[in-house]
Amino acid sequence: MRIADLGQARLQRSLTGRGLYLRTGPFTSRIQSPIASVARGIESLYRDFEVADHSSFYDFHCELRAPRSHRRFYRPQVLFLADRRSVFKPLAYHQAYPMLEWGLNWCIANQVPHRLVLHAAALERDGKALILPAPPGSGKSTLCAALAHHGWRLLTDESVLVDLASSEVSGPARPVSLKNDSIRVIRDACPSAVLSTPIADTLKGAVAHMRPPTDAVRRSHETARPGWIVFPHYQPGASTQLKPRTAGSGFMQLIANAFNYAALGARGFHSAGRLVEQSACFDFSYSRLDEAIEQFNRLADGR
Amino acid sequence: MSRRRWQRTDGLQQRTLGQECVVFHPGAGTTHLLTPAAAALMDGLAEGAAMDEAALARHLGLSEKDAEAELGRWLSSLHTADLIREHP
Repeated sequence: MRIADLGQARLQRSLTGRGLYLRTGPFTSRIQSPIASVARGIESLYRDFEVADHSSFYDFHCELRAPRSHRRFYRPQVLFLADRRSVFKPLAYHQAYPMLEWGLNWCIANQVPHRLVLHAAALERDGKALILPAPPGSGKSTLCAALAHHGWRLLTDESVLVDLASSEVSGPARPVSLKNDSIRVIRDACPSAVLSTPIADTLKGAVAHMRPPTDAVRRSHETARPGWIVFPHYQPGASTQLKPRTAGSGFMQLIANAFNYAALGARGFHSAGRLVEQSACFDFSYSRLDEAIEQFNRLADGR
Repeated sequence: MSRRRWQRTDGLQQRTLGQECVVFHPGAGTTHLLTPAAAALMDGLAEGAAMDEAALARHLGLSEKDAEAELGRWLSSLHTADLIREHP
């Protein structure tokens, strides 16, 4: 059963009761929350995702609720709890939905011991993965959202999962997080994209989320073989440039963007090594999204 | 040239990536990117075996003139990263 089949009333009952068991790629998250904006966000952005029954094993247990203090009423706040522990400082109540997304990102970054997890976006075309590792502000989510609507299959905009044995790449295909100017840029570049109403005044500025394309959700269990590792850098006024990078320096930059490389030890080292060996590494600078899309399409076509 | 003998630190994990090489030190949890020259030097030091500096210079094809300064620099860098140690 999908979220869209569940209906608003049952979705709310699940969230306020034993929890919504939401499947995102290889993970199942048990989500509990009485907050209406969380239910609305899930209903709109996760409509194509599968719901598991209450007897299912779940990877993450997440709860969003108001603190049990005066901050339920005075300048209300919201807490995110993972396994019943609060892992972030409380946020203003209107930021509950973005907090769910950040919380799920935190769970993947901190609670996945059996895969190498990269802070990167990833997409697939013709069975090959394009990995975009980058720190916040480098334009990776904007690129990812645009490519996901121009012939590439979305794997993730935030958490790339690398199989430790095969180095096959996958992602949970969850909603893409867009900030500030990126929201308008994606509205203009991808008219069919479904975006949530922007939430203002978060730590990251204005934030909206893009619903993943239906096909990406349906195929979220399909892995991709390593193809390209591209380090993007958005810079206003920059010309579109794709420059090869040596494998060694690509490896070092890749592991700098891995959440759990240190915890995995030698297994992480060899997994990242195999990934780089099977990929071509590049640096990419851009300011124009249309040119960037064309550049990646040329790369995929071998032109 | 010094007659000191060198050997690899035990348990290092190494991968060759194009002309470069990356090494993981499990004890320290550190990862190092080696230049082709440093990688060739590490290749010369087989696991468990020790080599003196003259043999290492020959392995790298260094002239006697270059060996003192070049080899000394690479050895010092690898030693600082705890990738090699002096054979007792």
